[in-house]
Amino acid sequence: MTYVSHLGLQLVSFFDELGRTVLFLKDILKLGIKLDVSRKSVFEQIWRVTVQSLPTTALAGFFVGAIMAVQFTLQVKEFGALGFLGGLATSGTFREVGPLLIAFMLSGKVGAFTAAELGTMQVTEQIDAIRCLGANPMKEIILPRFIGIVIASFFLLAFGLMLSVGGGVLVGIVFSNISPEEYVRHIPTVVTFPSIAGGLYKCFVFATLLATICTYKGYTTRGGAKGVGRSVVSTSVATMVGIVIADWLTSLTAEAVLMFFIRG
Amino acid sequence: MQGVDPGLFLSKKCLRERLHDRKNRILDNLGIFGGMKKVIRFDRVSKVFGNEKVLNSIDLEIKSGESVVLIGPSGSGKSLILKLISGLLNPTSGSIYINGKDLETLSHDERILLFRSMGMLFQKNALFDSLTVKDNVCFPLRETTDKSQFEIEEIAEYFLKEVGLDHVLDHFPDEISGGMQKRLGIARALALAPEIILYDDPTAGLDPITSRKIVDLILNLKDSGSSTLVTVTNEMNRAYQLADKIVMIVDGEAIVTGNESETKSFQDKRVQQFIKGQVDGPLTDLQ
Repeated sequence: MTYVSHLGLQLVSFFDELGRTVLFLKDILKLGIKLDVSRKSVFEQIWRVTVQSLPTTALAGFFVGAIMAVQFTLQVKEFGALGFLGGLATSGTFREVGPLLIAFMLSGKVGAFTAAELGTMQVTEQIDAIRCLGANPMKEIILPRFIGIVIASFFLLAFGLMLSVGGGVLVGIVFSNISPEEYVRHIPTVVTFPSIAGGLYKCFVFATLLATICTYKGYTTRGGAKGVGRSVVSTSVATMVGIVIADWLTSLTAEAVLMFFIRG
Repeated sequence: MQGVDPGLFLSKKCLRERLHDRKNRILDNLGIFGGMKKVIRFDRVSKVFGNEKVLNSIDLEIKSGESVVLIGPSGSGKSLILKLISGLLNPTSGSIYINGKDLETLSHDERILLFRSMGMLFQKNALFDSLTVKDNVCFPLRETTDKSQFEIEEIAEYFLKEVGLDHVLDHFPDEISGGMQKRLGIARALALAPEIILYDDPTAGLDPITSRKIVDLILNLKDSGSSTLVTVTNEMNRAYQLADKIVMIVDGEAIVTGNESETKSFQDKRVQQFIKGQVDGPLTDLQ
């Protein structure tokens, strides 16, 4: 009985938190539609997120491409189809593994940083002070960060995916003895526009999810230094779980859209 | 039933409450109380956190230009009253009127406009740690006024000079002392020339000399404007120095004890124990 009631409470708390996050996103979008935001603050946030995460994303992207190439080498070698290594590895990276792994990296870096920053502002009453000074904290600190994270994360994810091709090429040369030209030759054959669009669609969804969760968790932090720690941890957990679920949903919807256009 | 006054079916208590509300509405519409403009009014305000009733149906009136000091044991709800006035928290029941307007009935935009006429110094200062001293004061001006950058900087520098911080304009809050941080908080609270200024323990954690300087500064700034002050402090000397009227918050009640001499002779054992700092008494029993 205790276990069941505990599980019930956990479920209620999960859906309560989910509902609050959705309402928080609604408030952000309502403000965002009015474009009532300081462009300078948005550019500052884009710059901060990009500079902060570019090396990590580049490294992650490069190695994701390399890992995929190693895995596919083992498979295609058996069929004597090494010529298709580039196409297959790149397709798999763009459509599935790349956005997922790079988004994980970003959630650890950008998500944790933003949640800690906003959480500290909350527990030191800086957000209350903004409100007391007649300004709207959602407009002043949340919206610029949200837009900044979505835009920067989207481009970082896209940049990471491009670099993954480089990682694949390196593996092709070193482990599979194929030239860079041979590696990239079949990429356009396998990696079609829907694959790229699907990958970019995932990047956008993951970026939005990351921005929503980290700003919400930071903004709703309570309970001093311990509270900030809790927010950072729950941001990391929630973004990773959220990204995995979103990956499944975006794969389903992308496939459905693709099928619709193929079958007419 | 048509044509019958529904008031006939109300209890005496209910009728009294209705008359009380009607009287208050008329006073609020006139914007007056006892010949002076009433700026803040608490009407049977209660605040409950979980199972704990921190404020129990309190009535409180603060007039224009008045300096009211809230005293009382820790956790009695003094800072809570400031947070209710500044709209950071909402009462569980009852109404709060600022300049005759019921906070509950105001739209989001109306509330924001109203709160721009207030300034607040937080207990732990709540300074923006990523902004310089000057930018901390520029922030409210930049976000809420149409003034040019030049004007904003001029105003910020004026207030920072007033509080003696014109030599650390480019420092960050964590690079200046606790007393300086308090003064910076005061300068930021005053930047929008507010009608009502709320000071939450302005001398907390400061040495007696700095504490005295801060209170002198608050009084000087009050004399140069015509703001209404609501201050929370537990240092009785500072309270006497600042107050036109002292209000003790204890056991969910607001006891208006009057000015310094009235407070010292106030016939309530709790007030006497508190102002004399005695260990034994009804407040100790309450804890």
